[in-house]
Amino acid sequence: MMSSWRCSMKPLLRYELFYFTKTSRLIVLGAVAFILSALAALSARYMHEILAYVFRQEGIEPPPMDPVTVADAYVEFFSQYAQIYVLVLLFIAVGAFTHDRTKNHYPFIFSHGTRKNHYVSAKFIMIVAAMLVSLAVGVLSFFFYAQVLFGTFDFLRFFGGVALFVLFMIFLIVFAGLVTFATGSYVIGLVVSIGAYILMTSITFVDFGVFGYLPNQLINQANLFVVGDGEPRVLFMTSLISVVVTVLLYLATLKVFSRKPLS
Amino acid sequence: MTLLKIENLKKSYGHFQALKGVDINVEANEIYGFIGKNGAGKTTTLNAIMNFLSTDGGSIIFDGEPIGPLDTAYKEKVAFVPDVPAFPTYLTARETLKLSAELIGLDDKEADLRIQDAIKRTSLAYPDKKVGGYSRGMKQRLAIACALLKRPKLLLMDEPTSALDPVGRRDLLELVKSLKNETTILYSTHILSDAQSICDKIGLIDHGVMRLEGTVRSILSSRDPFVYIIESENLNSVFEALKRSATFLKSIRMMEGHLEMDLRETANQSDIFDFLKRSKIDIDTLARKTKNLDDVFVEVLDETITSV
Repeated sequence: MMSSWRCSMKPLLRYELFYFTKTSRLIVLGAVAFILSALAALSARYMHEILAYVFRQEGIEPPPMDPVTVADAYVEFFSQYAQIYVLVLLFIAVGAFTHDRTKNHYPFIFSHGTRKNHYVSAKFIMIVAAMLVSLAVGVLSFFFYAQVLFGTFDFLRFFGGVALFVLFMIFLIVFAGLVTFATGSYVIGLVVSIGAYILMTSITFVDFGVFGYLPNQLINQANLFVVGDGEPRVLFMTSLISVVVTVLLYLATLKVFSRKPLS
Repeated sequence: MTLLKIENLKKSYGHFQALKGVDINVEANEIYGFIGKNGAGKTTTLNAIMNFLSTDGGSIIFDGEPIGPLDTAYKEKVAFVPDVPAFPTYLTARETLKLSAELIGLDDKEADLRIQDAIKRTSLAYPDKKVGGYSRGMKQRLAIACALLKRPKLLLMDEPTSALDPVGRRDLLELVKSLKNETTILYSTHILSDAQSICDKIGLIDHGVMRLEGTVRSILSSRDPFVYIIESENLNSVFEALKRSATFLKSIRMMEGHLEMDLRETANQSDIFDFLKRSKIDIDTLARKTKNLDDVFVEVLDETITSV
């Protein structure tokens, strides 16, 4: 029988899950994470050998280099993810935000009384979940390769760095969601999100006052943390402010979408 | 009993007024034909009922309760079949129905029963095939099946036959007719023969304004039952002469290869003969046919009508 007027979150989450699993987006994201993780460990481990080979090919004696450690692999991991994984995730996330509008699925979804805030929340939850699943694949493959290539792995330090990276990614997803729901355009959502990402990561040197604690400092902080240079107070403040900013952006997205026509 | 009452509904897009004060009364268990040309305001009205867009004024009362701009609870009793149904192409029809049932809030057992029933009633073929491989007609059936899951008090259908082939159209009209005893239907269309064949009542909208409302019989009987047709080799000159001097005409319009005329209440066919004889105008044919809803529609709305 008809249940009492119900929370539509469960079917909406299922709907989003279908989107990610049946359209291979989850597999793509997981595959990218797996490949980047393997590449990060391998390139960190053999970077010196590769450089020495290149120098010798040019007839130059390679300069002395510090021995590589697993910390170099950690840094390489975040570098690879910041350059490639973020972009892939933004492509997928913005597509997920605009998919129902461009494919005219709104009448199907909203003619049943689905609440707009549930709809937006389900989107965010499933994109973040897809990101976490793919990151889990990436972290596991990275752990495997790092263990094999370096013989050691500092779980606590690496997971701390990953947690900061995840926080930044959630902030970026919510930012992309706000822009995309506000404009209703895949192209604008994507261009603005990628542009903002490039801008944010290129001005991390601006770190005086409150600028030192904004979400764009999170990847920097992740890098510092994994090599043991993180400062607890700065880490805490940056994380706290990032969470607050992310929540505010999320609430703004709900507000913006609640005013959007569905036809 | 009035199930849906719309009063003075207004909606503008910038400077364009899509709805200029629409009034509609839909009685329970009737099929209400909401007719009008493309762009007349039919879809905007249906979208307003579904709260898919905000309105600029007026009220919508469903089942005695006004619908507020943020209300969603009434949708438990209202189903909507859009003009171009779209579903996730990667789901099968059965998965789509299951998802619909979940969004409605049905438990698994009830959902399975209703899904089977909806598939059977809509003759939905290949329910385990992905919707991406469905034709437009099959998507229409799926949309109606999704709507039936709800067992709605009011079913809104937006031009459901506009892109169907004749067989698909006939089947769909039969299906709509068969629903008459279970639900109230607001059936939007610009295909007047469809409306005439299934609707109890008609509302005619044009440029965001309701022009007519009533039963098909009352609309037809309130007018001259005949439309007069002239065929001639000199159609333009006949048209000009009649338009200029024939006082017995209510309206005349140039159609493809012939003229159509409506006479004033006091006039009859002999007035046309007398006028043509007096004016020495040669024609090939003068005929009259019984008006149908198409003729009324053209008479009321078509811009090519020239009132005399």
